[in-house]
Amino acid sequence: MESVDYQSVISDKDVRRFPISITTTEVNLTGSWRFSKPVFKEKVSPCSVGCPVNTNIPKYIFYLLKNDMDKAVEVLRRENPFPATCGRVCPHFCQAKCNRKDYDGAVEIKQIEKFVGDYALNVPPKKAKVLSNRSVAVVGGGPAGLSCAYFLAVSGYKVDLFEKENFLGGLLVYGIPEYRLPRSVVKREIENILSVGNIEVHLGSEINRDELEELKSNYDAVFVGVGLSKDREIENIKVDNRGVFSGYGLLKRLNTDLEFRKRFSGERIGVIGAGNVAMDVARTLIRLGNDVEIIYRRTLEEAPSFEDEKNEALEENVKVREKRVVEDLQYDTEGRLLLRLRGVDRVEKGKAMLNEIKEDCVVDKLILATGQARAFDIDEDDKVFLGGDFLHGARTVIEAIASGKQAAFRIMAKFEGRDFSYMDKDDRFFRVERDFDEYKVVPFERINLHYFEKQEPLKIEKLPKEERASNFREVVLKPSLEKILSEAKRCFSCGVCNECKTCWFFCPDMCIGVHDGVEFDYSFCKGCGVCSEECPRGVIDMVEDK
Amino acid sequence: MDFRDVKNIEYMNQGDYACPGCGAGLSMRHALKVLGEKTIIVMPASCWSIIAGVFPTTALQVPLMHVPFATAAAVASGVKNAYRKKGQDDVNVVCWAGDGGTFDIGLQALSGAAERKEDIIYVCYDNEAYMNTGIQRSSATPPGAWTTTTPTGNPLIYEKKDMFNIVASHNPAYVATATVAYPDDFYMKFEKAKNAKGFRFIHLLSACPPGWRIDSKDSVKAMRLAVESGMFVLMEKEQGKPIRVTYKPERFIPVREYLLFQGRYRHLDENTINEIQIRVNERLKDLDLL
Repeated sequence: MESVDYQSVISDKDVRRFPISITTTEVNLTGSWRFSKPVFKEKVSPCSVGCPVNTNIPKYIFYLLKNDMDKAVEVLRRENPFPATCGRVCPHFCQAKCNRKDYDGAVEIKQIEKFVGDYALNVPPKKAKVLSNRSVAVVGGGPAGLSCAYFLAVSGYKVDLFEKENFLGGLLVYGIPEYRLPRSVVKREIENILSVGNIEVHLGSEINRDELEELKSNYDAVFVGVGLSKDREIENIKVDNRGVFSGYGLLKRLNTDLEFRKRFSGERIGVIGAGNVAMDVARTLIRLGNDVEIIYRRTLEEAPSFEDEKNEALEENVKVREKRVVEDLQYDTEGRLLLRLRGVDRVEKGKAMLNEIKEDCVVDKLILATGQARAFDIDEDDKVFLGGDFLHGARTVIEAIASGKQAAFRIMAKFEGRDFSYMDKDDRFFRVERDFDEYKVVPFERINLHYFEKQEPLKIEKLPKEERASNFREVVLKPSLEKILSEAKRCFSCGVCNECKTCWFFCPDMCIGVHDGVEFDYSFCKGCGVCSEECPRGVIDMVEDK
Repeated sequence: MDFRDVKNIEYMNQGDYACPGCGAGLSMRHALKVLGEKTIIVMPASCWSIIAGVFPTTALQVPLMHVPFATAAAVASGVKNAYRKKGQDDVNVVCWAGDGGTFDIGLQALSGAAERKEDIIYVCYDNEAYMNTGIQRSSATPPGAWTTTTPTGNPLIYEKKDMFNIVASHNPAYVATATVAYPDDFYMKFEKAKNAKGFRFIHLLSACPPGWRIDSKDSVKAMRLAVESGMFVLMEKEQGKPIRVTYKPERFIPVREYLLFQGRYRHLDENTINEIQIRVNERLKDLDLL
């Protein structure tokens, strides 16, 4: 504490003339009055529980606002090697759990992550040293495999990465169209991952079931994250690549083969299914100048694709025929497909119950996007670890990254002869670094709302509908820096100290110092508890102290 | 307010004798941060006479004079004039008195100094009773509140003395109400008082956990709810200008929320609460806040 030297102005003569106090009350150690004392306990924000990789979201927002971008990147990348990708394609489960949701709308974490992630593209991670002679084979260079390889490499293990295509990224490259995720972003992010070192990439190496056995004997562990590469078939429709195509296969070619794209324009195309692959195929074909109609056996509302994808598809004039199945199809003389559709009453246990409605429909091409399955089966054992869609079925990119990350830590736990354990079992919570003091999710009630004025969440600006046709520009536009910062300031920072100094301001006893967390001067702290009550984010707890 | 912008220098020592969670100690701490080193405090009998510490210790790093109960404003007038004679007109002479030393016992000296336009700052930290002598009622005690001398509640026919308007009617340089629970407002008003010339008066609401029968942790919250419920209105008046309300909540909360979480009001029945609400509403209407 700084203080003024007031004693020096008083002379001994003054003291002898009249009673005058010249010493400080600091001899009175008021800490002895205390029955309870404040303790600094950082906790867990609900958003980070919602996030499959459990990123410490408030912490990187704190560094962003502090204008310490390198630190923000470090915090973000400690848990997730794909921040710029996730800032674009992740459905942000975190936002659904945001404490601010019921106050004035969840914080637009997605846009903030995208901002920090884009900055991170130009900040390669530190090179890691080799710290172990054990090596791991990672099969599949998609988000799960790359994530697994990254976390192993960072921890000093040698990794051989096998990818059957001639490029890395898997679904990020051939599954997600450029208007949602520009190629340059994926490329840069993968370069950053590889710059850690310790990862040797083998492109064009497809690994089949037998070769897997071989890898098992050559490596200390094998990670398999090859996704779902086989189309799920429909009984009455066969893919012939003449008029009927597989959605997954087509999307892959459309996304990687520019020549191939030219074969699709000005046609009437039907898409069966309404998952994310169906939406991506439909929206890609619309951009190539086709007339696209989705045929789905349920209603669009029930469809498993992201809300954004559905809305943007409708905005872009993708048509949807709900509650219909294709009962039969025939080629006519001009090579077009004549579809006979039947109405669906309801879907029970995966089986469509038909009703009386019958419709005919003519299309030039029909695309089956009804989901994919594993190309082969294998179970986890001592040496084999699974991850990504291959493990848990078709899910989101972030869940693939999370499963790759957890597999990496399961592998390392195995190497070190201990069991992998979550920081919280019920929430399946796992962070690389335990950067909190107590596993406690901060509830809305713990937030001191007085310190937060209501403010509308950031409005996401999108490319106008008219400008989307016939190009693959990113649909979601970049918000301005001011908007990002103002949105970041909305974060309650639940359970994570952001050095707001509210406790310091309201401490009547001048016992609080705020530098990298909160320190208490227990010699004088009277234990009033004002700091704990006023803390806007529930970081200070009161504990009994006798 | 961004607390990171508040200066880190303290003019108060640790080890003061304030109760845990005392609003008066906290108010002094921040008032001095604004007033700065060139300040002298004149203090009549009050809680702060105790808080400041026993001889030979002091909790303040600026000079402090303990003076008899009724004389704060008179002594401060003398101190200011002595400084002026010595050519040190830049010293802030501040009376720091409780509600007893302002509303009751010190009122005539205060009125006299205000009338003579003495160049002093008079701060009344109002904890709404004689707290350090054992929670006896003062003319600042609100109707309905329990004290040891009003064990069934301060009679409703009494009204809390309107100190703001009493002082304002002397047409001083600056008069304001404030509470440290609203830091922006608090700092702004002390800054204005510091920079104005002439008689300046600040009425601070200051929570007293033992006297208000609240948990010490709720002390800042209590001051805040007083404002949010309209029981205490944050306003100011500069010389020659109309009264200005400096903070208006988006929506006033019912006074019941403020009253019932304090032990001193817990005995109140519905009728009494309604009566208090009606009076608060009338006052807010007068101020054009409802």
